Amino acid sequence: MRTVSKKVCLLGDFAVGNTSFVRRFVYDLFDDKYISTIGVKVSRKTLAVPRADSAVIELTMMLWDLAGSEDFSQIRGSYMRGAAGAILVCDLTRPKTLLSLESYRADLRQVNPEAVVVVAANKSDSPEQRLLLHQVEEGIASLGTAYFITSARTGENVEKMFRHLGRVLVKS
Amino acid sequence: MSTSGPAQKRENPTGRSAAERQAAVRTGKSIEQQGGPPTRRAAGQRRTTPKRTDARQVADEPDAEEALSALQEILFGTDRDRIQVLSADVEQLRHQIGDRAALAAAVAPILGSAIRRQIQESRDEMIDALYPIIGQLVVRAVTEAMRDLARSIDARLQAATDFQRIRRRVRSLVTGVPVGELALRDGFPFAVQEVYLIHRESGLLLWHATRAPEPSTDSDLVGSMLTAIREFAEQVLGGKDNLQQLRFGNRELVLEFGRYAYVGALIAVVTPSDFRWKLHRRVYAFEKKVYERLRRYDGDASTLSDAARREFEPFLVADPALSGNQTGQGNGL
Repeated sequence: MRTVSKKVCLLGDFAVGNTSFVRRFVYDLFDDKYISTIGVKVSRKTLAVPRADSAVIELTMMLWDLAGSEDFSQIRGSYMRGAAGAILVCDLTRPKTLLSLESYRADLRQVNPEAVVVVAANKSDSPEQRLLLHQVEEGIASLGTAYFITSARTGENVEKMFRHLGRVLVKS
Repeated sequence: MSTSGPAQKRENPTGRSAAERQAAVRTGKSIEQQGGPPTRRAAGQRRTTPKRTDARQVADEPDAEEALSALQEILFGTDRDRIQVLSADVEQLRHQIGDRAALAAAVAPILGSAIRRQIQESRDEMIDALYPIIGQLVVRAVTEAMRDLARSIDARLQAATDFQRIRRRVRSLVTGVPVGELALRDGFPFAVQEVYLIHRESGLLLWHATRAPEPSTDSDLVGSMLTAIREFAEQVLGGKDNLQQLRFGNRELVLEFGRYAYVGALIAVVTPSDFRWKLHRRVYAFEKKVYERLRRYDGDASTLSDAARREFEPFLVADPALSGNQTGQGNGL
């Protein structure tokens, strides 16, 4: 089986839940403290991705979980270099986090114009949800990318999102 | 075991509850005086009556005993409980003192902070006290290290070809450093323990080799985090490719950069002065061989591994003169 590695960035405002994705669904070696000290932590997600020609590729996504706080806005660009894809994460309980996605995507495009992007509208399990589906759709429409309503807590659509991203990465 | 009938009556001839009896003892009044229901004694005769029948005296005795025990309970009950707790503590302490392992486990948590405090408060006394032990340990360690070094130099001198001897002599003439000192410098223990070849932009691991018997499955994560740390240092401190080495304990990670890839060599003990130059030459040679594949790198490292192995694996091969010594003289590059 052919093995391919790709760098993928996890981007989103503070506390949208991207670190929860890492904790529960991927292989994690390093401490979360790196996110607050140097602004990033790398984890790994390995998937077997079928291709159109029926060959299966073992895809290793090196997930760079970037700190969402303002303190690291200067350095974020350099961490995005060489990324083949990104997961933009927003929080369904905080509409403002949806609005920030556009700026993350712009930063990414600046260093990697070809990078593949998917959106994860997270915390679908929360009773405090304030964003309705049509609002999410409207907010993401300008990004022109696939989106998934996810819950890092229950696992809803998380694997599905990774699989979708994996397929697109292998194709691209 | 429970009893019934007359025996019960003997134990509690008044028919009062224990609480009522204790209350009576506490206040110094009889139950009758407190307004309780009449007893046989209250109905038949007064307590102050000097003349009593023998039967009446026998009947009163258990009552007095109970009152006394209740009084004892009130006066000494708390102390008795405390004594029981203390006895248990003493027993536990006796056990801990007798059992060396238990004693060590009990003392260990406070020992570190106690020593630290003692050193802070009376540093000189502590140095005086520890010097005989530490001094001996240091002497022993230095002696052992010098012996290793001498062995290493001997082995190196024996293995040196005429050409190497001539080269050292020339170096000595040019630099003014005595031949013996050059031999000593060359004889410092040195070994490359691991090599990481990393894609410069993405931080993806291109190739990795280690002396460890079982290679780590996390080398790709280490490669990426190393790239993140390098990016962080460059962003914060400025410049490009300025992070050239990371040192921790007696090991250091030497970094050398090419156009599309960089290499990190984990080295034990002392890095020879010309090692960086050798590493740089190898990175350059590697990039030259796989330039196009590196420039359009798509994440498939298998296309680069042969070239990487040829260039970098020799770093991990120990000097035959010191084979079997993991931290012996490095390599013949």
